[in-house]
Amino acid sequence: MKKNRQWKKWIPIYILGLPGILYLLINNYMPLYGLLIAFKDYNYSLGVWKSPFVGFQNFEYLFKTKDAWVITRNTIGYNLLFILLNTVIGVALAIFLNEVRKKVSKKIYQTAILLPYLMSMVVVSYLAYIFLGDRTGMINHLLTSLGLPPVKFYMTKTYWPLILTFVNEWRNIGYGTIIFLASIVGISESYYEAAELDGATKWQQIKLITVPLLKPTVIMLVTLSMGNIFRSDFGLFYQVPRNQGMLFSVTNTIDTYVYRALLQSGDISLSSAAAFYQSAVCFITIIIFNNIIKKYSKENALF
Amino acid sequence: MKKWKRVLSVVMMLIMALTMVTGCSSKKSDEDPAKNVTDDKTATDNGEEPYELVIEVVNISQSFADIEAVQEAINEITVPEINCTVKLMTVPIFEQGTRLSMMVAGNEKIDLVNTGLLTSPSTLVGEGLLADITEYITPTMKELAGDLLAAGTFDGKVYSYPAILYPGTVACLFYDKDLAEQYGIEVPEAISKSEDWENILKQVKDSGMSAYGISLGDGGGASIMEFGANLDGLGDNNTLSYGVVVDPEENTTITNWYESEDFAQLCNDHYDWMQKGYCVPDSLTNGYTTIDSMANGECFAVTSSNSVGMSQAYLSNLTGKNLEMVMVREALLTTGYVNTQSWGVASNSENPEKAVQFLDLLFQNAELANLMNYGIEGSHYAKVDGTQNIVAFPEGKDASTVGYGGDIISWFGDTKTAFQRTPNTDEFFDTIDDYGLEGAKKSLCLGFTFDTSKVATQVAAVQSVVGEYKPTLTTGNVNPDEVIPEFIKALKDAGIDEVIKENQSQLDAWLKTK
Amino acid sequence: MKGHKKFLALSHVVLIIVAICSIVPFWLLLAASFTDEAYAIKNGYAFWPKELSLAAYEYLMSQWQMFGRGYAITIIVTVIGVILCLTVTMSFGYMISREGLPGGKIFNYMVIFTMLFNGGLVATYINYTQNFHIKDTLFALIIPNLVTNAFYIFMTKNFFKGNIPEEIIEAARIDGCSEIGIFFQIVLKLSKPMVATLALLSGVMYWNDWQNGMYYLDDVNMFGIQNILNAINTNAQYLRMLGRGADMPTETVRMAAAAIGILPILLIYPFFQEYFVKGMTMGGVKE
Repeated sequence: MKKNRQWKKWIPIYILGLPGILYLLINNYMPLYGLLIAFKDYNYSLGVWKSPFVGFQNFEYLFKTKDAWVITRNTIGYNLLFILLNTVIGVALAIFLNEVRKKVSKKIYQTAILLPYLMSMVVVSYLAYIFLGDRTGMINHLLTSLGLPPVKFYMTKTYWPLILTFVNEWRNIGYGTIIFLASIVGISESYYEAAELDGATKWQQIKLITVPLLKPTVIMLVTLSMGNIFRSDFGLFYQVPRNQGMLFSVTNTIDTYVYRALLQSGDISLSSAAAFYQSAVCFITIIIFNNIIKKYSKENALF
Repeated sequence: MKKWKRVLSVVMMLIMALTMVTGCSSKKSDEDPAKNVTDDKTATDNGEEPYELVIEVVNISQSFADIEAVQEAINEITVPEINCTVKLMTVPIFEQGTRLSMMVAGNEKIDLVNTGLLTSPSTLVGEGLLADITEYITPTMKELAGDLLAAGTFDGKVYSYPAILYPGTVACLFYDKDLAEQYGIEVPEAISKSEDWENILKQVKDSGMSAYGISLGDGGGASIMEFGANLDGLGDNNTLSYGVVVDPEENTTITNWYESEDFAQLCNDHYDWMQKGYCVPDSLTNGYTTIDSMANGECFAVTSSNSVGMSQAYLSNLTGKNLEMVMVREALLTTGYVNTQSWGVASNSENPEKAVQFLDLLFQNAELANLMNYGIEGSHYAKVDGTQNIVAFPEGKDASTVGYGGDIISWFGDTKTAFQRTPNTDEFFDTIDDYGLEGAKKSLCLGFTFDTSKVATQVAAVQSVVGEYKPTLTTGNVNPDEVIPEFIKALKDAGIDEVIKENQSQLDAWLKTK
Repeated sequence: MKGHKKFLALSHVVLIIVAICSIVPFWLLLAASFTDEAYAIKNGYAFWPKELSLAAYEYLMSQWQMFGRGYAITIIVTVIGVILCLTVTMSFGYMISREGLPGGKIFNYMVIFTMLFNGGLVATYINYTQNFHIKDTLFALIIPNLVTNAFYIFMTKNFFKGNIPEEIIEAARIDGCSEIGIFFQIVLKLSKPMVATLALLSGVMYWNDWQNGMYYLDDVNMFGIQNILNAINTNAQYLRMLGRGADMPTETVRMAAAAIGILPILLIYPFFQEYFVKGMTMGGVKE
């Protein structure tokens, strides 16, 4: 009897979730058979099922290259750095934004922070060139007017980890900040009031109330980012460095490598294999990471 | 609940607005019902309904307002001749690469397609996107194409037919005549050695003109100087990763271009010129093509290929300068050049035979070709006074306002018999044979295509290496003495020797069959 | 109290620096779009163009009919898309945020899996065009890959779990409210920050999307603004190649096109922000 009533209770909840389930099924699960292309020599007129099966052959070009280590290191390295910075800067900015009470200032700051996110990476790459160009770039103009020798940015790789990180943070920070801000706003005022009465300083309040209560959001975002650890923002690593070969050792990622390797042939089987490889590694990473989180704070694990 | 009622009504309003907008701009109804012409004129397929042939017309991007009128005019020729109606499908060039694969994958109706513009026919064949049309090629088509047909033959079967029957390409230098006069620069009629280049560039530098001698471009694609070395890239003219045949009209040995002395010489020259200030300094990164630079007045001369589609008059118009041409390497016919533009039939076409019949008709019937290239006389083009075969847009119209024919990239028909657009002149027709089988040098490998499937991994790796090292080397930005050895080693590690070996064995086998 | 003032001052300083960093490049974008291209090629761009030129905007405006239609389509698509996204995401997020949901773990994995593995363009395309026939319809701009994704779902799940106390829901249940009623009448009212955030993020995604249009639309008349700008961009290059003007501005056209693409959001966002800010400050649950 009890079980019956329990089931009845869940039915309306399931109904609520129905549109989402349907969408995921249609949009994500129905085309899933496309993953097979990675293992086949895909022929458009034969279709996915009838194309010949070739096992892991399509994956070879990803490993049999002197760049395999470099692209892997770059992809993962930059991603870890970005995750760290996104979190720290995002949380900090969200806290600062929350402090501002005046409407006008708040509006200006919020719009400004979101602004870079609205620009596509292609446009960002042009803007970067305006600053970094050899002859016509602003920085070099400044240097020459000060009597210093100009710097050929697009041929010197030492600057690029810094440049790419700055560009990435500049562009994406708005996204994280808004999400953190939404969470902070949801924190009850009463906590702060109580702390105030207890004589806590502003800094203490942040450390002991805001940050801990943001933990679930932070963990969620970091876990989800781990699910993208093997992928990279193509625009950032291809367009911004303008596809300059001299910078490859610090700008080449798995995605750009695949693009350059397949530019001539456009072979869909090979690019599918690359995507599958990335997905598989991301999958393993996120499962491992989630399990680690489960050990330390079970309720915050994503799944 | 009230709030949701409100939201619902807003959504309803939006959906209505949506249908209104789509209603106004709805796609034109597709099927042209089999028109009136079937009864009286001779139908050649046992009185069957005319087949509707879907033809891809690659253009820049606008849709053509008068497309239906042009289709009707075309039908008036095609229905009585080969019993088919035509539907012109305009495809913007930047989508052309994906359009065919999407349509075949989704099994949408498409028959005649352009190949080679963005993807080579061999790739398309490998992916199963083109239909085998060997049995449909007529004797007239065979005769017209001659040896060029081999370029569209893969594994003994024909998959594509050349769109331009005179595809020979000259490597040359175009320079600004006015600037030359003004500053007294002497330019020889032909260039063949480093010294010739040096001579011109030094004069430019010494003359004090503000323009640079030349732009070395961004290193993407093979530079004209490389073709000046008379190469056949055997299908990969961009990265030369398959190996090259030097002097292909005489020999058939494949070598690694990047190991050659000529390449080293070329890089050294370029590096030297850069140091001496003869070239645009940041062409590698500034995002402008050599032609852009020329048009902007940054250089005195520009290297370019010259072909039936890229004439001196055309390029002059393009750059807005009065250009004169200097030969670097004579016209050469290679598989790659033939395949820069050709016709193929989609693998899911319902009537490939009809598509090929259309091609046959197209090359024989100049009226049809002109219709497809330029539209209807009077409405879309007008003959230029005093010329025999030159046309221009009608008064008051230009490429963006004309109802059909503006900015079409596809070429239909026989270049010799169809009209040409200004700025070409009637003299253009006298030069056509220089680019065809009669006048141009023929590579001994014309018709051979390298099947890379056995060495796909190495090819991918090699192309990656080329993309990394070549641009900075050929644009004179790094010291070749230091970088070339590194480059060669990286190529070997990537497996270029295996690629060349495989290529050579395929080539030799193919040569035996000729 | 003093600590508060100091902190507020610090906040302003930091935020002003960040704001400047964001606005400066955008200003540069605008300035570049008004620069004479021939001058810029030789001398680069500056914050205040030395040689003004409207050529880029002239070229864009020559296609103004397309723009009007493009904007209309993008606006409609964005609004409908956001509403759809909110509906689907929040209801699904609520479902999987419920403690003890039978099969809850399965749903979790189901969502994560979609984030990681994707059938690829070909399969998705075939699915949508052959099974659902959305080619050349407005649905093509709204449905594929944009309605919801793992990220949004987890964001809402997280929010519901962390910010809606069980006590309130229990109280409503005792009062005789149905589960669905609870969701619509109580939970949603308390979720204003989440609604606002999700609306903003998905709105920006819809506004900036150009891929769906590129793959599923053949009819140029149905292009949204991003596809049009994309086409114009590539056109300007090809038009130069086809000889329609040696002085056709290409780079400045790209800048102008980017500015035009961003402008509407910039204009609308401050108004939308009213609600956003209000929603944010009212979002805290009072005990």
